[in-house]
Amino acid sequence: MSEHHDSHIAPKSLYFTIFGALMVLTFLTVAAAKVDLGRANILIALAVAGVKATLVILWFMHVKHNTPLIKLTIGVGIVWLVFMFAIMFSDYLSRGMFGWPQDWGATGLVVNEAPPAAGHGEAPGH
Amino acid sequence: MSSQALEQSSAHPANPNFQHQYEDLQQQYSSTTFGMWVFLVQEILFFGSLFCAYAVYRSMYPEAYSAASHHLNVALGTFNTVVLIGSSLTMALAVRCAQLGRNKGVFGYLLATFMLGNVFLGVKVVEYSDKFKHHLVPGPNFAMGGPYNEQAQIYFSMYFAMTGLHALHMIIGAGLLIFFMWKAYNNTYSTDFYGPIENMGLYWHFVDIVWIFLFPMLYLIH
Repeated sequence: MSEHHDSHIAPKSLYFTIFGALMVLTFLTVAAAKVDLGRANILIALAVAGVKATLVILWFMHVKHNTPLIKLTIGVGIVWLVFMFAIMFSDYLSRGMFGWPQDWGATGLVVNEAPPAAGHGEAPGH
Repeated sequence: MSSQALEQSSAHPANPNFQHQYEDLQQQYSSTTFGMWVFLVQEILFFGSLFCAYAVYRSMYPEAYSAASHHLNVALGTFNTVVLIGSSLTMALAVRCAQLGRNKGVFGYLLATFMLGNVFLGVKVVEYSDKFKHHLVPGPNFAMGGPYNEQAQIYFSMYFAMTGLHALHMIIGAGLLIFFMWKAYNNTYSTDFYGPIENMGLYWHFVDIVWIFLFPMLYLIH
């Protein structure tokens, strides 16, 4: 087994370099949060977090030099995560996008009004 | 089992850490690492569902999230981020020592990782008690004040659920670190056998990555 893995033992300096990069990014994201950039604040914070996570995954978790099976496994995990967000938000963000019947209340999200009088809640066409 | 595989397994008869269900130590290593990654993919989706819930409620109540997130201490959050990334560095160095068969180095770096993990949890205790003191725990005593008092409870529910689950992972990780320190103390690891330390490292780095996303989402984005 050692003959397969000796070549992948990284020098100490690599780990300190990655640590240094993670520190720089941490203070960068804290500094960026102090400036009001509107919606760009969220994008910057998440982008920096994404870069930091990628550094950890590739070098601290040794994925950079790992087998195709391991890389595929991680890819599958991320794809399913994207599916979860995409399907969840395709529901929540599209609510009310195409209008809704008058008797559903003012918002498509919260219906806390009294139930409509008899005959009102039936299918269109009545 | 093919005759070739039989020859291979008989080539490793001496290592007491070799488990008989595998053909050789190489297969044992790749199987256990693969298993660890499958577990971590499950963890990604486990935490991912909470991130999704956070994002859905954030899209519904952005003002309440903004008002509530100002009650978190950015200095303590930044300090904890530095501590946790530092513990990931010592963990990575522990794995490197294990790859080189240096058990003393593994013990030392795992101890450093354990200490840094406890510093993180200690700061978390300070933060949590601060939330109780200022009535920021969702429930009948919640009193953040302001126009978003009710909706802000959703933010703090997400805060306690996400950081709480993260802290639980840290506590479990700290227990595992003690176990692996004991194993390293008994000279368990060698250039032929270091898979368990590698997997411990994968778990610890995963917990670090969760915090890398939690920190900006809870502390920084207003």
